[in-house]
Amino acid sequence: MAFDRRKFLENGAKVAGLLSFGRMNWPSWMPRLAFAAPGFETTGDTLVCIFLRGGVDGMNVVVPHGESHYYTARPTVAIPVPKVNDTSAAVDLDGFFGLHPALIRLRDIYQAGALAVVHAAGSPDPTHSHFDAMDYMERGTPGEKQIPTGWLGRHLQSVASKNDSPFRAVGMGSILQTALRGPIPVVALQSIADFHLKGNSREIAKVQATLSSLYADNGDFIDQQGTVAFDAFEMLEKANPLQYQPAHGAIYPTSSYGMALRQVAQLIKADVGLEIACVDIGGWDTHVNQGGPQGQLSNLLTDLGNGLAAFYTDLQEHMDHTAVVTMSEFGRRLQENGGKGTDHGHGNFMFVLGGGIAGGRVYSDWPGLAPGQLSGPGDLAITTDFRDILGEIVKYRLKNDNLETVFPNYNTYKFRGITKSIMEVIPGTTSMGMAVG
Amino acid sequence: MGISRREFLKGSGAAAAALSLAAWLDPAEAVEMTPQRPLPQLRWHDLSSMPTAIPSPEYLVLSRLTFGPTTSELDRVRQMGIPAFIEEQLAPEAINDNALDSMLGTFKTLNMNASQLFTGYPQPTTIIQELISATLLRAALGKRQLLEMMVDFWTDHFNIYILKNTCRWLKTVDDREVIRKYALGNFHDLLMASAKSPAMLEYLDNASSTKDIPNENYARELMELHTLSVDGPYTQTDVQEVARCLTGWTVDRRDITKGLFLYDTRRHDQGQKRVLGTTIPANGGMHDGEILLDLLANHPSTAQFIATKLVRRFVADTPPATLVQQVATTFTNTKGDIKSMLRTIFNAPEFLTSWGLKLKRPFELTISSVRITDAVITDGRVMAQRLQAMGQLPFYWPSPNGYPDAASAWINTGGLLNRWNYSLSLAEGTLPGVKADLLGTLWKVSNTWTGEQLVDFWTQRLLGRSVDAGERNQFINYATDNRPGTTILDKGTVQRKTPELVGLILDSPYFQYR
Repeated sequence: MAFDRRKFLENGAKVAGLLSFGRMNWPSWMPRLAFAAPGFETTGDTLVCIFLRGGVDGMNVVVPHGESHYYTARPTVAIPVPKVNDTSAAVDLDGFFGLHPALIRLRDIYQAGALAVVHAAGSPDPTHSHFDAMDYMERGTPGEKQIPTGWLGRHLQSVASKNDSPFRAVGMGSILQTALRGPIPVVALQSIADFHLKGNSREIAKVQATLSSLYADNGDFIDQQGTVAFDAFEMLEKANPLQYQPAHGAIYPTSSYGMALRQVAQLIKADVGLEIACVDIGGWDTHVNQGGPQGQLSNLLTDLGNGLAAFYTDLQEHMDHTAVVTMSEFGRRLQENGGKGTDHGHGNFMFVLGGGIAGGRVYSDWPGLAPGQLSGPGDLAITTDFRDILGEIVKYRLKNDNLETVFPNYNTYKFRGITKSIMEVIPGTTSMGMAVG
Repeated sequence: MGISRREFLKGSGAAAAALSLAAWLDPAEAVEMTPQRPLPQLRWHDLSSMPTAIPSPEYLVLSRLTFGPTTSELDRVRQMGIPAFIEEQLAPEAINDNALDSMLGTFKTLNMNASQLFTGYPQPTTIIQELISATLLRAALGKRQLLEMMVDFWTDHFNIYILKNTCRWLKTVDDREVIRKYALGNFHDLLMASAKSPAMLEYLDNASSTKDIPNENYARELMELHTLSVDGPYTQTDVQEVARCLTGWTVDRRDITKGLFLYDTRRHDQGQKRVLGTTIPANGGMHDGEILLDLLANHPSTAQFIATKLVRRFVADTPPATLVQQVATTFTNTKGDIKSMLRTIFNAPEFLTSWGLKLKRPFELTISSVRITDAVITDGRVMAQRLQAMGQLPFYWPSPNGYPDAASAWINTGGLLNRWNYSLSLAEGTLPGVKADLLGTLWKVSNTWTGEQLVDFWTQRLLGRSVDAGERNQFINYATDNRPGTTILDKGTVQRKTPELVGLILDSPYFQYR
C-alpha cells in the first residue's frame, strides 16, 4: 500500500484520544470523521450502484400507462392500467407512470419521498450491443473506447478525501465491475464471513505473514491486488462480521444480489469507510417469454424490489448518508417480438433512492411512444443523459466537483434537482424536474 | 517480490528469446540448452547457485498448450522435443487415452442424444454434473490436452449458459456434436454446426423467431461475438436482415424432447434480404441462412477477430498485432483451418518469448495445481464448488460473450483469496475429493532435507524455475521457523511444514502465471 499504515495508526490513536465521543473503535484511518461532530456530515454519501445486466425492459418496470401506443405495441406483455385492488395492474405513481406490480414494496418508499424515478434516461450512444453499451456506461464515456478507467474509479481518484481505508470501494462478486477500474484499489468481495485465509490453525498466521510478504506491492497488478486483500483482512477482522443481524426486521432476498446488498449494509454499519459499492443483478435479457404482471420479468423485479426495500428498512437511520442508484445498459424495444419478449432498445428508467434524494416523483421529459417519437428501430428515445443523473449525485451527494474527470468530454449537464442538496444550493431547482401527468 | 519478477518481465525477453528459440528450432540441442533435467539426479548446489530464471521452454509450452505441466509431461516433452509434442497434440484422434476414456465411461449421459436425455432425466441435475465432471477430468487427467484447451476456447466463444431453459439437457449434445467435434477442425464447419445446434437456438432465442416479428438476439450475437466482432462493419439494419435470413431455423417443436434442429418453412421470411451489402435473393428458404453463414465465416473481419482471440488465449492479453495479422492471413488462406492457425501461433517468436504475459484464469489455476502436484481426483464436486466461488464453473457464464480471457477480469482481492484458499487446502489435504501425496514425493527423493533443499526442491518442481533470493528466504524462513536454511530438519518438521510450504508456493504470484 502506498500509505504508511503505522503512521496512520499513531495519528488515529492521537485523534481518538482527543475526541472520545463515547463511540468506540473509531477506525483510525478515518480522520475525516474524527474532526467532525458525530452525525454532522462533512463528506459525501455512500453510493451503492446497482447494475441490471442484460438490458432491463424499463417500459415494463416504470409503465407509461397513460400511453395508448404502449398497449397497442405490446399485446401480450403489457402491464395493465392501475386499478384499485387489482394486484396484477400497474401501481400508479403520478397518474401517467406506474410501477410493475412486483415492485409494490417500493411504493411506500416512493411515497415517503426517498425514491425518485427517472424515465427515458440512458447513454446516448446508439449501440445495441450489451457489451459495448455496458462498457460505455460503466466507463462513463459513451462512444469512446480509449479511456480504460471507470467513472467510479475516476471519482475515487478525484474526490477530496483523506480516507485510506482498503474499503473505500467494494465490488460485490467474482469479477470487479468496470465502473470501479482506476488507480484507487478496490476490494472485490463475495462473502464477508469467508473473507479470510483458511487453513491449519497452527500454521495459518505464519502462512499469512509469508504470503503477505510475497505480495508486497512493488507495482505489479497482482501484487497490488494481493496487498489490498491483506489490508482488507485486517479491517474486516475488526468489523466482527459474524455478529450481523439486519435491523428493523429487514429480510433480504437469498439471491446473490440480495446477499450482496445485505453485505453492503453490513459494511456501511461497520464504519469501515465505505464510499462506493457496486452490486450486480442479471437475467434481464428477456427476448422470449418475458411475461406480464407475472412471469420471468416479474420474478426478477420481485428480487430487485425486495432487495431495495430490505436495504432501505435495514439502513433506516443511515439512509441520510446513503444513496442508491440503479442502471442498465439499455432498455428494450417498444414493439414486443414474436416470442412474447422484447429486443434490445434504447431509453430506460433509473431508480435513485436515499435520504438525500428528492424522491416521490418521476423525473422525465417523456418523449412519447408514437411512431415518429421513437428512436432507431422503434425504441424509447433518451431525453435524460445518464450522466446528468450520476453527475448530480457525484457533485451534490458525493461532494466531488471534478465532474470533468469523472465524465470526460461531457459538459452539457442538465441537473434535474434529484438531490435535496441541489435545492439548498440553487433555490427553485425543483422545477427543473418535469413530471408528466 | 515484484522487482525481480517485473524486471524479468521487462528485461529478460532477449535472453529468454535466445534460449527458447534455440530450444525450439533444434530439439536435440535443446536438451543441452535448457535448465536441469530429471530431479532425482539434481545436485543441490546446482539448484541453489542457479540464477533466477524463467521456466524452461517445455514448461512454457505445457503451460500454454495444456492445463498445466506435470513432472512426467515435462520429462516426456524434453525427450520427444517440442515440435513433436505439438504435432502429437494437433492429432488428438491418434492419442490413446484409455485411462480417461474408461473413467468417463461411467458418465452415461455424455453420449446420449437429446431424446434419451429428456426422457431418461426429467430432472437434469445428473446431466449437468456429469458434463462438468467430465470437463474437469479431461482437463486434469486427459492426454488430449490441446484438444481440451480448444474445447475450452470454443465453449467460451460459442457460450451457452447451461441453466437457461432446455439448455440443461441440450448443452451436453452441443458440447459433443459441435464444440468437441470441430474444436480442431474448420471454423466454417464449427459455425454452421453451432447455428444449427438446438442448445444455441434455444439459448439465443432463434428457436422462437418468426417471420412476422423476427427475434434479433442470435442475429446480433452471431455477428458481434461469433464472427465479425463488435467493431465489425455491420449496422442495426444488418442485424434485422440477418434475423430475417434465419427465421425458421428452430428446434422441432412437435416433440421438443427430441431436441432436433428443424428448418420450418412456415416461419421463414421468403423475401429478399440484403446483408453487409450482399443481396440474398427471395425464396431462398433455408439456403438464406447458409449463404449468410458462408458470408460471415469468410469475412476478413471474422479472420481478424478469431485471430485476435486465439493470440490472446495463447500468447498475451494484449495480442501482438503482427502475429494477429499472420494468424488472420492463415485463417484466410486455409479458409478457417484451426490447426493451421495454431501452428502459426506456436511457431511464432512472439509465442516463445511470452512468458509472464498470461495469468491463469480460475479454471486454469484449479487444474494446474492438481496436475503439478500429481493429485488424484476421486470426486469433483468440491472442486466444482470452489470454481463456482471463483466465478469460473464451466457452462455457468450467463451472457453470450463467454468467460473473459484477460487477467484484468480475474485478478482482484476476492479472486486471489479464493485461489489462496483453494491451493492451500489442496496442499494441506483438506480439499474433499482431491489428494496429493506430497510427502511420498519428497521421501522418494531423499530422507534428509535442509530448509534450503526443501524450498529449492519444491520451487523447482512446482514452478519450473528458481525464485529470487528475497522470496527464497521468505520460504526458507517459513520452512525452518527462522532457523538457518542449512540446518537439517527433523522428519517431523518436514512433515509439518511441507503442506503449507507447497501451499505457499502455489499461492505465490509465480504460480498465477501460465
